[in-house]
Amino acid sequence: MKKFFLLCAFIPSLCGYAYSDVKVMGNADTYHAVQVKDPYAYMSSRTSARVDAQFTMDDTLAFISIKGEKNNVVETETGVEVREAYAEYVSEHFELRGGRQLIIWGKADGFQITDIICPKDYTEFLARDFDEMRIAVDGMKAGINFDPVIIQLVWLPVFQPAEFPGEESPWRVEQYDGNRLSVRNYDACEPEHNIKNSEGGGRISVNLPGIDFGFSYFYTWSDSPSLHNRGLTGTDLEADMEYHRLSFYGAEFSIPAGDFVLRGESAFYTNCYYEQDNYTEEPLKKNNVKGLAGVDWTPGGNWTVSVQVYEDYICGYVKDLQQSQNSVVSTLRIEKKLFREQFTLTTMLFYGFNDRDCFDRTSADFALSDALHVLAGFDIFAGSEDGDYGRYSDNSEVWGRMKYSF
Amino acid sequence: MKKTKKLSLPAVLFLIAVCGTAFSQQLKGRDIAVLVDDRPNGNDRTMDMVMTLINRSGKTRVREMVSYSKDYGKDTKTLFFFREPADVKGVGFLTWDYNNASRDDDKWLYLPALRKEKRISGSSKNDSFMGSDLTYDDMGRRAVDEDTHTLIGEENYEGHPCWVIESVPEDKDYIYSKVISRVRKDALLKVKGEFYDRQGKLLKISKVTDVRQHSGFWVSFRTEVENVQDRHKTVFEMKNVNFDKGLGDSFFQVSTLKRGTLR
Repeated sequence: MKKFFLLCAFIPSLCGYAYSDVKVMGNADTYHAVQVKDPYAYMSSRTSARVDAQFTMDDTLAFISIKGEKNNVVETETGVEVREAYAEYVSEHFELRGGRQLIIWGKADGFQITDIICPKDYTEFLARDFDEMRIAVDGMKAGINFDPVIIQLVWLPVFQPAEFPGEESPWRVEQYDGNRLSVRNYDACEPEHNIKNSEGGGRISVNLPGIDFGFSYFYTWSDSPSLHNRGLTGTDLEADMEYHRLSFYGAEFSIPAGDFVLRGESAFYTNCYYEQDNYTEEPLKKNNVKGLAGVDWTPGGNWTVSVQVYEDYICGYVKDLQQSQNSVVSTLRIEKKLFREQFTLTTMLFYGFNDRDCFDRTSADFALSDALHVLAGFDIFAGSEDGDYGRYSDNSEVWGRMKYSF
Repeated sequence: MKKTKKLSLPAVLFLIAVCGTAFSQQLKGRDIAVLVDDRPNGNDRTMDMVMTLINRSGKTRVREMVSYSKDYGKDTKTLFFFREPADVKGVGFLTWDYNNASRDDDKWLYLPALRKEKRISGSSKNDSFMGSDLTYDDMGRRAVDEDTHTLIGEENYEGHPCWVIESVPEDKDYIYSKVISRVRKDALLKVKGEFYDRQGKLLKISKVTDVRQHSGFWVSFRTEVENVQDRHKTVFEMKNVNFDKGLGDSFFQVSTLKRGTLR
């Protein structure tokens, strides 16, 4: 099936059409991060190149994006991949895109509420740009536009899981009190590739003067597996890995008000699995509500300030669950552009109220030319080691990056 | 679709020609600002714009974009995408610009790296437009009654009779304390502007260096804007200008912006 969708993207070129427009763009990017405490290890060291090509003819388009990466810290990340490859037809009221593509829903920055169609690459936790963390999915997307109403229908015939840090990664977290996790069915735990296991849903969005709003539904698989049939054998926690069906009903809005834009997003999830305090016990299935409210403020002088509050609430809570019934995280993002937008200072702070832990990424981006940017910054993880951010407190790092765009 | 209430170009020229000096003497600053605002420029427009930023040492940075706009009575919808440079290629803006000064404009930004469109605030108007010497507000269409306009004289500029208008913003916190403009009588175009900062010091000078009639409409094909305080200059050049191509209403919607490209 994957091959079919990739082929879709190349049919125009195979037929030898004379395209009315061909655009090639891309970038070369090198990023290196060093731990700020002994042993001052490289937390990341990677160099990548990406080439995007877009071929347009009349109402049709083919797009391909290929990325090659050499990763010196996580060797499994080294390689060449087809990041996106799709064919598209667009008319005034209808559009159809088939192939490997990024599909992004929602209004939140840095949180997945309805933005779960593309799974994420957590091999370096949050220390990659958000756009680099999304993994493209193979599927079809149809759009029906009767402005101001846009209806989007998505069908994903092939399951794509999220990616997590492997054993060699400094971002891997030990969760089982020193017991090594041994998965019995590692090679057979993903849902089989058949039409019964496909994913699908839709989103309706409305853009009116003074307000944008939308509703969505998606029937999917959990991007990360849960562990079942657990048992301790010596120092090994043996378990079967299993992905589960889940679905969500989502809503979102965005309202401009003077210097501010108010935005919100919420989703009701069914069939989420949660770990228990006793990790030898089976995970429990619960429904869940996620919600976010945010404000973007542009006071002028090339300042941008954004604040978000995110809440994750487990319905039908029982006290044996590892996660709190109500988890609250807040973010603060401040950006200032200087010297005619050639120099940009940005900081983004995540603060977890439950565990009083935080993650801050601060960066300085200097445009040596319009094509070449030099960036430097630091990532700080602090607070309780039980928290999602504090557990990486040994991974606080300084980093440097150069990116050439063409 | 609302019909534009603008006067046609022949009608405007006829009025000016017939009434001559007597007409001109009766005109007040606001009347001229209204004439400039109502200057015929088609119901819709498409153009390529090249923006060259020149710093005090002569180093240049070039931005290229394609722009589409359409009038809805006194309101305007505009869509543009950046083609160059590479770091902003594909970035798109959609604005619904309302003539009513008390109403916030609707604006959306498309970021190709994030494959995402987002609403942005309508009021960061005083920030520099992509590092140039004009602000977002300078680039847009400022409502006539956001300023008090006074006719302070008449003179020949580059061989063309012009009105000299002083425009003082109603908003005392606005970035300019006043703008003095030369308006060409035949073209109803501001061909020179002197922008004064809040302290009353000269901040910027804009000069239109290529004004021509195209498809029956007067067009500023080349404009230089110099910030005299930091000696930075921006040259705006318009290419492939077209009027009344019959752009559909659905073109100026978020669905077009979300595609991230124009075809």
